[in-house]
Amino acid sequence: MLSTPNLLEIRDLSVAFAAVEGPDLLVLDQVSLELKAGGIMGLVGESGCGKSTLCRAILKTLRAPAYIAGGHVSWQGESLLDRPPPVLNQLRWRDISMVVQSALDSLNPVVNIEAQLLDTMRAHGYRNAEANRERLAELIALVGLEQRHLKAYPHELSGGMRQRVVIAMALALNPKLLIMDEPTTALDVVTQAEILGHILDLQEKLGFAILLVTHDLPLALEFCHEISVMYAGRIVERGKVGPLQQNPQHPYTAGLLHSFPQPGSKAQVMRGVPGDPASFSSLPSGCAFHPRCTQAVGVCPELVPKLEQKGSTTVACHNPLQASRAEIGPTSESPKFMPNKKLQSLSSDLRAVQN
Amino acid sequence: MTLLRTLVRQSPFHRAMRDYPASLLGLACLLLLGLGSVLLLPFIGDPRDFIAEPLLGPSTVYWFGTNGQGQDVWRQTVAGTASSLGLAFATGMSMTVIGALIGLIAGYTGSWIDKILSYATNIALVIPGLPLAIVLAAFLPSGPWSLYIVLVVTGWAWTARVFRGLALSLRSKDFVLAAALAGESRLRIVSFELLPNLLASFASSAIGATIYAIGAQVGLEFLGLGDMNRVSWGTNLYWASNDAALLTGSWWIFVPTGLCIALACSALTLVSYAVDAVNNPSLRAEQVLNKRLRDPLRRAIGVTPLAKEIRHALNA
Repeated sequence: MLSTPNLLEIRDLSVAFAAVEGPDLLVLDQVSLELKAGGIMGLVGESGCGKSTLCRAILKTLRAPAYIAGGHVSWQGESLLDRPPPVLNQLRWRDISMVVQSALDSLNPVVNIEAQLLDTMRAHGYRNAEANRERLAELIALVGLEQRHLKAYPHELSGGMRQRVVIAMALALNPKLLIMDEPTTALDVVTQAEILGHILDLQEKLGFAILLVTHDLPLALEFCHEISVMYAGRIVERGKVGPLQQNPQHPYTAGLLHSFPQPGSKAQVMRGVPGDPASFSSLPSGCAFHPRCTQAVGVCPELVPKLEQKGSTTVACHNPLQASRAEIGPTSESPKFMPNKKLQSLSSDLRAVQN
Repeated sequence: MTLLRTLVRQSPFHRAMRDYPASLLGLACLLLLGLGSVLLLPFIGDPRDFIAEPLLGPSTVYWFGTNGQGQDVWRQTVAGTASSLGLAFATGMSMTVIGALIGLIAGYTGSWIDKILSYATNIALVIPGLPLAIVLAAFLPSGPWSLYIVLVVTGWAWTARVFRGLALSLRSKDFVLAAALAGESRLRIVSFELLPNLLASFASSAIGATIYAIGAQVGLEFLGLGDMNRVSWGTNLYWASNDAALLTGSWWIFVPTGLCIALACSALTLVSYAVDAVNNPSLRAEQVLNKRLRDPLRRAIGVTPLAKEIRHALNA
């Protein structure tokens, strides 16, 4: 595994918003991430912690007043941020594509699905009409839609179908990395399971890497290989799914894990995370999480903790939770989340019932 | 007073003015032209008096010289500015109010009212404006009122079209539906839910209409279709042309009026930049960043700038 080079490597990436008055707001503070080819990374955090900003910063698609305040992004070993705009434009979508949050808003309401998909291909130099049509038929089948849907307009499709269209569009050019920014937030859980199951299937088949942004930690635990937890523009904990779930070290991760019930376990009090998310305009000193933290010690308000490998995960905390999961949360015997295959069969059962 | 001041400070127009100094300059020019001419009017004497020999160049006695009939060009310019700007604002405003009302009613009520009003708007749109204005102006008794009527009749339709579209798109928004479900009356929905959203569009329409009114008014009068006994920008230019000012090389007769027209129209255009910023708040974010870019002209659209392209990045 060590020999495989990183597909995407983000080093100390910082993003700031230019302010009219007062100092600029640092909304992404030296974030580092690595993603290997075919890997699935989850980016988890509360609303407004900088997840989407990070996604958009990778391809320099952030709108004013944002600017990239520092750091590097390298793609297959080459720096991305310094590339001239035309090169960047070709790379966007062909190598790295993105599924945005709201499929309804990202499809043009007056153009049919076929034309929008074709437009994507043509914009990146695929001009062979015959080949494009074949690819189109393939794509639409890939995401589980019917050929007749190609002629449909966005308003004629349901939310789930529109999301599939957007995913088909993201996969149109066979990208090596698919960034999904809360792809299923607007969908009901059944559709969500169906679509994510589908994406996992496609990922196995096509082997692209995925960066999944979500505020839904259970979903990320189910879907990803590795998870980065963000708080107030910094990554506070990073690790493989297993250790992170069984033995979270950052109090914030633990708080998130306690914010949802575990299926199959006994009734339990959900503790969540006390207090409100930090605001970038008045960020707490030191560790930004300390006002909400149950484990805060004297040094927390003074020093920003460094992200360090401690035990089974990488964590940025002065006083990490060393205790086993049993002490602070549900027992480790509580059943794991339903494996993905089960989810898929569940959703197909549901579909059968609906039909 | 302090309440008023905070209200003004918080208004989007005030903020836009602060962000766009050029718009402030435009506003200052308009005030200078408008207020200046109106305040000077009582002191300059009758602009139609024959005060000296014709075609005298600018001098210390007659600052702007005299025209082909021996009238004072300075007096004519001041009086012309006062009357023409006044008429332009009045017609521009009326055109916008009438157009906006018709468009709003058509767009918001829908049904047969919309059909009739849209039909009328479309007909008014396809009739060529200036030829109709010329015919009407020739037909009506000459005077400022007929000019006013001619301009409003030929100019309201664009605004109506724009506001019908705006009303249509706002009508389908959830907050309007919520207001309707909460039992608010139609009048209240239009005046408290829709109108605040339309103020900036109204302002930019009014600016466009005023510029049109200046151009059309001057054009009609220049063609001799206004009241030639009145002193205005258009009649000043008409008489300048009539007295062959260009042939005799007496530039001082038409240059002051021409400059005033150009100044008024440019000032209105400058003000419209600030109005655009109110219409589209995201322009503000662009502006904040562009001010800080080392080389704004080289900035690529849709590409986030890097810190090295920004002055005093992170001035924390």
